[in-house]
Amino acid sequence: MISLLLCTVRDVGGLRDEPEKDPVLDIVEQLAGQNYHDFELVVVDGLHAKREAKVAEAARKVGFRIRHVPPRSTLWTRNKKVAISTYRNTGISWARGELVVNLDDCCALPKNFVELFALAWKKYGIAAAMTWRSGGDNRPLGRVTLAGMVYGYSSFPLEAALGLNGYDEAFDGAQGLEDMDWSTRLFNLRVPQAMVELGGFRLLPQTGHSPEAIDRGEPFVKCCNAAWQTQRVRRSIARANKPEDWTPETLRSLVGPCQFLAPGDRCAHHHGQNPCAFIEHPWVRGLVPLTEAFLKEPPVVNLQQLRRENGL
Amino acid sequence: MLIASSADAEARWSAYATEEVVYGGGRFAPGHNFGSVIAAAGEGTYLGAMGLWLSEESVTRLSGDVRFTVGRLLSLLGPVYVADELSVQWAAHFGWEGKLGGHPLWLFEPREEALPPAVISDVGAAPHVAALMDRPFVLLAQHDLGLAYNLAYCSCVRWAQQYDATHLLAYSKEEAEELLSKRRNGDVPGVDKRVIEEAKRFARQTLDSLTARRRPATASTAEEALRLSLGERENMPRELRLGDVFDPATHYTKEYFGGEAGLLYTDPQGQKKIYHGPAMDWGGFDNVARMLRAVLPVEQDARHVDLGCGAGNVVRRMQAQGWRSHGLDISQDAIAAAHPDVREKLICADVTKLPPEETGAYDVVTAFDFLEHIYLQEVPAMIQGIKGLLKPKGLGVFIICTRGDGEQDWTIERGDTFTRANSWLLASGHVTIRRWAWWAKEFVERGFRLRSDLAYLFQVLRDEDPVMHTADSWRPRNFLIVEAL
Repeated sequence: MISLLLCTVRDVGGLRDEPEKDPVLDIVEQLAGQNYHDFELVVVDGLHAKREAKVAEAARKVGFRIRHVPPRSTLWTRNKKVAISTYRNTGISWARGELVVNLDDCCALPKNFVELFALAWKKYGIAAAMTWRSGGDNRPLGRVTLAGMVYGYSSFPLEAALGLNGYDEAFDGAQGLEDMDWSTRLFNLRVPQAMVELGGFRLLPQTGHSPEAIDRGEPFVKCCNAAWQTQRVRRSIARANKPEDWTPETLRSLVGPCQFLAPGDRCAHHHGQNPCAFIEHPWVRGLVPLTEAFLKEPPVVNLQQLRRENGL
Repeated sequence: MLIASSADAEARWSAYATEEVVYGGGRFAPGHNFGSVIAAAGEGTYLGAMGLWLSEESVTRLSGDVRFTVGRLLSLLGPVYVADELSVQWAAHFGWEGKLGGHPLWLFEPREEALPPAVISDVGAAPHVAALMDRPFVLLAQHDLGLAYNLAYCSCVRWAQQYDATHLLAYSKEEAEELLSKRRNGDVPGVDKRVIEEAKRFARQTLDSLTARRRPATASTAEEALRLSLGERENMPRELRLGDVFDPATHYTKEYFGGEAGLLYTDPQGQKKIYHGPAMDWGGFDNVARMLRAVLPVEQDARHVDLGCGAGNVVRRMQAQGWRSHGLDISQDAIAAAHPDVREKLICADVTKLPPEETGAYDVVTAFDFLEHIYLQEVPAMIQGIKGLLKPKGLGVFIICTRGDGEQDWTIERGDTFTRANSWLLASGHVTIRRWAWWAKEFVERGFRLRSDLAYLFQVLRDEDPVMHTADSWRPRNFLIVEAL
């Protein structure tokens, strides 16, 4: 069986061209038309309470099981709101399929979307990841030979996910690193991954991209410096959410060196040539105390235990 | 292509004009910095800047309160949709048909495969552009001269690499500063024709390039999608397992060459990494062949042999310059991949065990990135072998990976295994790394004399060569010309 995992906080109005649609119900509707049926849908929903009745009603009409759950509370996350890693792990803790496929709440799925992942896994032993050709996305198709290349609409075997103890919940997704980290650790575990494209798959335009940005009403900031620094250091961690793996260096790497700079400091990323633009942003400055709090209380998660608590 | 910001954001912009890829996804609001503009362009979108337009201040002078809003070009051949008067003027400069729309955020019928579009915008409009776009796009916008220079130099290099495009500069820094200064003094120059022309050319080149790369997914069935996708990169990297013996006879496989699959090795920290070997071919060999023709004092139809010839790319290029050229390589895989024009000229053989008919047959021997692959104890025999190939006064031209200051000599013995300590370098197949002077001495002690005069001439040419002057491995430290006594 395939477990489709949908993590969302997107409400009605989140899809630009169809503002009246509920993104979760839209996905449910699309999945109802799939030509492959041996799957379940796990929805980890930041708007669980608000959407519970509607999803339950939809679940009664479709031919597959929907597990609609709220995210676990995560007091330690930097942004105190939404942490995509926590959502993903919550989803994994409910998944029953041998392969888990990440969905998004803003995509158009061809009818053979699930079939593709199932076929890739069963016939080729490959955890497929969906890509779509465009001028800016130059990730090559085919088997992945570089760590960190797969992100986004990817799949992974449940067994591997449990072996890795899930996504590293220290990545809250605010810098979009949890997916690269995940792909890297799967790569190191020798999970065969491959980028695949399928006609008809596309992203739907959204009114906002970043969940926490929606929540906070503040701009979403990514720093490539943080991304690369983090990748370098984090690759040495095989299993996530394990305190015994943490060192001051790995913990500091989670938040990006920019956030430890003061206004006017020279960022190492730019070889000390330029002042860092991020650091002067009040939003980034505001992260520092949160970051420090996080470093004092990093996440501890045990996916296997969560699954036992969930009766799996 | 061209991205805009207000003048006071220049310092912030410059922070992003680096060779790193800046990527992101998110919202943009007026007053935010360039990082946000790029983020607004969409996840995975790499933008580069090429030129410049008027600063925000100048726009205001030219058009009162009119600001650029949004224009969207569905393709170069299609109509340009713009939202206000100034954008129409903008589009007209590019020879595009402008069409006024009543809405500041004109929304158009998406034409799936007619993309990618270019967008005319200013910073204030960028969030609206981003909201309109659900795919990577090229943003054309006003900009400040000095900053454009920065971006052209930095971002554009990265951008050009991404898209195999040629990177162009409209202005030198001095010119840019002069124009900027004029503008600040109220002497607002008109739009420079050069900028327009460059921008037009670049726009077309960009869109052509992007369009060529945008290959629509044609597979409609899951089976076909997998077959097509997996077929593009069949090869997984070949693993160099710790404890396995390094064997030059089997090391240089197709995974080594070409940079596609690579060799999976273990670094000293125990992490798995991939080594991508040299490309099978390098366009710079054309320049090398021309320069050697100019520098070496040999007859037009001189006989030449290239050691470690791989797929014969040097041989092919030397042939094109009139040399009677042959190649030797130990790797059957590499020779099998040779161009048909030269395949018959390539011999798969160990250079230290040459057939007798090759003795004393050549005027010139070349070996580029080769000798460092020879075991230390076999270097004397190799040099004797090279001498054996050459006629009296024949010349040897070598590029050798040597060690520099602060680096250590490096020796791998025959039969050594891959270890955590050595795999990061042994993946490259380098087994003997010494200083330049060590190699020179080895040759001199075995019947050669240095021809530093020729090497100097070569380096003078290299310094002037548009390709070779950036090819670091061809610097004097790695370059050696010797003459057989």
